[in-house]
Amino acid sequence: MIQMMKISLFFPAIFLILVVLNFSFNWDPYLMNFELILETPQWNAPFGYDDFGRDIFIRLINGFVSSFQIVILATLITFTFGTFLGCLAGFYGGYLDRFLLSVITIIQAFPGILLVIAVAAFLETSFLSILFALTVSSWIGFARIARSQTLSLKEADFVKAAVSMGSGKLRIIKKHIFPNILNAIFVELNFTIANLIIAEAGLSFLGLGVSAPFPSWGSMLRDSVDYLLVAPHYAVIVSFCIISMILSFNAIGAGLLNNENK
Amino acid sequence: MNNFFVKKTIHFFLLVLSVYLLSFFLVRLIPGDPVDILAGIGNSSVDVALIKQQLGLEQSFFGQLKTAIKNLVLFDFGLSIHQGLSVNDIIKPALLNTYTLAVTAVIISILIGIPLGLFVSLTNKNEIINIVKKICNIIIAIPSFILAPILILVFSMQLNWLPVSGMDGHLSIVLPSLTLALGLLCYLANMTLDCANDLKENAIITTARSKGLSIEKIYFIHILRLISLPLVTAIGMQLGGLLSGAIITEMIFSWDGVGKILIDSIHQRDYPITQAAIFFIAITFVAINFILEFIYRKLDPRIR
Repeated sequence: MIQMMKISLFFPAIFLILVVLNFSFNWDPYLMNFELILETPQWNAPFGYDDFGRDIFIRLINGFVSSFQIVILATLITFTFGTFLGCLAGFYGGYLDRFLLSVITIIQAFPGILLVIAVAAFLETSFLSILFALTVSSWIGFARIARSQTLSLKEADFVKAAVSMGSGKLRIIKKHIFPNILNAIFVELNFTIANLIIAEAGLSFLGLGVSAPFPSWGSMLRDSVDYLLVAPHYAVIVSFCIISMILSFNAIGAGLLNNENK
Repeated sequence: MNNFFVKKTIHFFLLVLSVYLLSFFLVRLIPGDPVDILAGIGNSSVDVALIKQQLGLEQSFFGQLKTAIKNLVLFDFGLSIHQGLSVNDIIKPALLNTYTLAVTAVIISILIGIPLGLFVSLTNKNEIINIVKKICNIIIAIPSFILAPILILVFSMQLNWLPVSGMDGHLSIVLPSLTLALGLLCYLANMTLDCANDLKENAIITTARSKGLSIEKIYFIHILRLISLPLVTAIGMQLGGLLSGAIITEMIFSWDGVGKILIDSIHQRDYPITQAAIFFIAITFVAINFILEFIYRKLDPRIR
């Protein structure tokens, strides 16, 4: 499992290096070569050209940047918000806990990316609205984990000791509970990133995400599906990148989970 | 049991109400005046008034809330802005199409996934079990918008067996339902495999063996019954992914279901349809889980 995890780190790492190369060499994702439309992979362009004669390889790197800006930001926001709320609800209990549980139940009634689509549907497509749509539906994972972990930690002796010594509740959450639930949260973090990649790609696939000339993995996939018959390499390459990225983060999460249970 | 039933039913209706209100008031997220966007540039005041009336936006907040709840009770979701038809007439056939697709997918995955898991577990070879589990784990992680192009590429273009998209002929349901089914299929196979392996050393199996039952019979009668409980829970949980996958799958295969109507209405800014489609997809998911909870209680003799 640990070996799988190390292999999985490899793929995001390659992309990070490519991003650095991209910014240092200033590769242009919008440069169109009309005589090279839908050309197969060749020496100049390792992944071939898309329907406007743009280099797929460079567009993939730029798509990675724009998709991951949203995904990482959404993860950070949901991580902070969800964990904090989960800890509070688990520790204080009572009405706050019940309220959080019912909000979670309502949000869970919307299966998969339906809520993301629903929120994005009523907002104009922009960076902020996609971020908002992704955040609204994915914070509950963190809240649930944080809540259940806090509930069990509340009964631990060191927390009781801290209570009897008169520490404030927020201080206990910060100093005693949060460091102890961090492991479980990190596992959830990787699964959330994988899910957010799927959701973001799904949104742009449906035309509700990052808009047209701007590269993103989901919209590249949608364009490639239109040319499945003439240029199957386009769809295959883009799908391969999305799948590997999802599998990588899933494997990192599974590896961490395995490590923790040992 | 009665107490449980009453509590669960009240819970269910409260959830339906909150999902409805949430999907109804999402329209308030629209920045600026939604009516101006809808009516377009150079709109006449008559258009604006008409659209406002259709969306019920001319009333106060509590007035809108009251109408919304009244409409839910009457099961009336208003008129489509672009087509002029009642939303019910548009959604109903679409819902039927989606249900056909989803039910086919679930049947495929149950009929293939569970036996697959049992047969692989029967081989008793660790290498085979590990390989099957790895492949299943990979397929589970692949979202439907990637699975669909791959399936089209293989079955429609290379092998030329099945139609690429559309809804004519019986064969056209195969690819979309397979796209939806593969994830659930692999999930069920994986789970069946895990549960069957855990049960191998169980005293139940030893007893059945000592009665002289063949190992195949034990697997398909005793173990299948024992693992049906976690499988029902798993199906309930995975149905969410299946329903949201259906939205994208319907778009790719141009299958006239709720998902396609939802996305089309979003692009056309036909808000009444969008609201109703979101509500119906969510309610389907909630209702199925509500029913599954009772099936679960029927199956588990410890609760019964």
